[in-house]
Amino acid sequence: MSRITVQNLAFNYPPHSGPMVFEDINLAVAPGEVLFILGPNGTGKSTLLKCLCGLLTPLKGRVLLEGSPLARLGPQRIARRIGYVPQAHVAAFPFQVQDIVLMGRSPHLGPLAAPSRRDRAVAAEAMDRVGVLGLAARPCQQLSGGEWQLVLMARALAQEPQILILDEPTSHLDLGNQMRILELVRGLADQSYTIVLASHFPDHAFLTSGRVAILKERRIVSHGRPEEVITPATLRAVYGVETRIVALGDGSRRRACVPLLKGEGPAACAAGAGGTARGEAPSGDEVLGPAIPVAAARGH
Amino acid sequence: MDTDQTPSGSRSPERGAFATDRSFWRIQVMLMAFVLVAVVLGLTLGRLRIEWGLVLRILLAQVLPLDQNWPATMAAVVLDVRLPRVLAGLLVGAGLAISGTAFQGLFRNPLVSPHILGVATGAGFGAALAILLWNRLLMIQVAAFAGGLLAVGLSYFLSRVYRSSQMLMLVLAGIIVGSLFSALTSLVKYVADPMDRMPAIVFWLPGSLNHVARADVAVAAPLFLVPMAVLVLLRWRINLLAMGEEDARALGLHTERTKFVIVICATVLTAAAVCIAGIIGWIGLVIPHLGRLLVGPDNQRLIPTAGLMGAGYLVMVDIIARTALPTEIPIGILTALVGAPVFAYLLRKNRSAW
Repeated sequence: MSRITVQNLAFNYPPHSGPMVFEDINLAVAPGEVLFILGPNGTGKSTLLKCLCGLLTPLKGRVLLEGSPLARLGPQRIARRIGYVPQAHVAAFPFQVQDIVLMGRSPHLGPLAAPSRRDRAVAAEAMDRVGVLGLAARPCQQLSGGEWQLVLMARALAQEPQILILDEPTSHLDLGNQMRILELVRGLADQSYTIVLASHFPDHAFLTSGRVAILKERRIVSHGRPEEVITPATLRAVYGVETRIVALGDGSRRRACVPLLKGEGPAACAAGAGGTARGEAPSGDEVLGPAIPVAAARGH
Repeated sequence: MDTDQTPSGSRSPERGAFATDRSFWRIQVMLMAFVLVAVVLGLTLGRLRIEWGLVLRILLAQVLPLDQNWPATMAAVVLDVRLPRVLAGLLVGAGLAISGTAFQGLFRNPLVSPHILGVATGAGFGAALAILLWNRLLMIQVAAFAGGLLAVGLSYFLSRVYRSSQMLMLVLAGIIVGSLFSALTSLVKYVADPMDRMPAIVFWLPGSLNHVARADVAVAAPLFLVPMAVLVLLRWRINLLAMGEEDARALGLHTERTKFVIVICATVLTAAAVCIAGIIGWIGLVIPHLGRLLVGPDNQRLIPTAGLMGAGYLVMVDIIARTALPTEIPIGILTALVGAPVFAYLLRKNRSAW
């Protein structure tokens, strides 16, 4: 059974008069699965994620958590099973990183209880796992955007949830931390966490190797395995840019999505795609071999 | 990952804000000693100087069979004048400091005072109206309490009318209701008898512990102790709300419920403070800041710290209010005279980290 199911979901911000943010959304994510949500800015990815974890109430349709409707569970029961990592954060007070991560223990505490020694241990473990243990005593107002995201990730792990909802978890991170987060996501999926994440990096979908859904103009326009969904044709339709999907060709199955500038687009694509029709991946994949240094040199 | 710290941050917060458990407890013990010293001074100092040994014997005689070889006036001064005043000072000081801390956390704004939702102006209007109509102390206190609750109730209701759970709406509603009640208070002053009732209103408003009697303390004590206890129990949850409502909800908090309980408790505390001591400003704004300098922003530690600081501070200020000049200085004026410069200093010193 899927762990989180979305049925005919539609949402509109009050006063509910304008067009829907999205409608007819149907999704199901199983334990150990990563669902990667792509889509242009402002298509409602964040709104969808907030509906998934009960922060917003959908106008139509419903979200099921292991078969029981989310609307009927209180925030505490939801928070025991769903950890949510928001996109950005501003704090009014200089809480220490460890205090913030400790807040993740909240759903497991009684209404008047304060965190115990065990809760502190869980928080420390979560910080260690994300790699922010060294920041434990840092006041949060001195954190960079990327550090904030890692701290909020640790806070979500401290909730000991089964499902993680991540809103653009890699968007403020440097390359090293991006890969650390994606490795973490993969590792968590291997431990049968269910992960739903919104992102602006089509390429990262190949790294997390789950399923991809593309949200555009209120609907999911494409849904499936990364190799099926992330194609030049789809990306052109969604983002209006030319891309090339290449396989690394070093024996691994790894693919990469390479965006092209306007000028270099058609010619390069035509040359690269050879005889096959553009966009018919995976058969149309190129194998990147010795061409890499040439391409890199041309880029600058 | 970069590990460099901003130059301002490396200085101020580390010492106090990130106190270890041990230094936290040391600070608590020192604050308790401060409160105790304030109580002792509050009972001994005054126009009639009574030495501490005698004060102690007078107090003990209430519970132990001691020879009462002291003048009855002395016992009366200690038991009927100073003791209620000191107790009221402790309750009002702790209550205002704790409700200020809770409101600052709730509104995620370190510039918020307990009067933000219009408690003070509502209570002031209630008191002014009661002085105009009856001019009896009991009625004034009841009307002040009711006025304070009414103002906050209106603010809360008004923010609901806008169908938004945003904290900002609550603050704006508080401003609207506050100015409405202050206009009404001016109206009452305008129609009051300028020889008799108007001075009474003018003297009541700035706040004083002057007319606190033993009965008042006994009646008001639960109005302070119950909400203080609730806020102390909820203090860790206030941290969650201080991260923002959406985060708090994602972390499993019933935000609406918790917010409501915190607003009720902080309001009852403030209204009770106004009803026995008039409008005493600045404590609820400045004490939480001083507390943050000592123990950091974690409400788990900050709430009890602020409570002790507020209690000791108000008793001390009250001693100055009644001994510095031949006539008593209204305590609200003194707390503002002390509070404004202290706050200006804190803003300068602490602008990078609250």
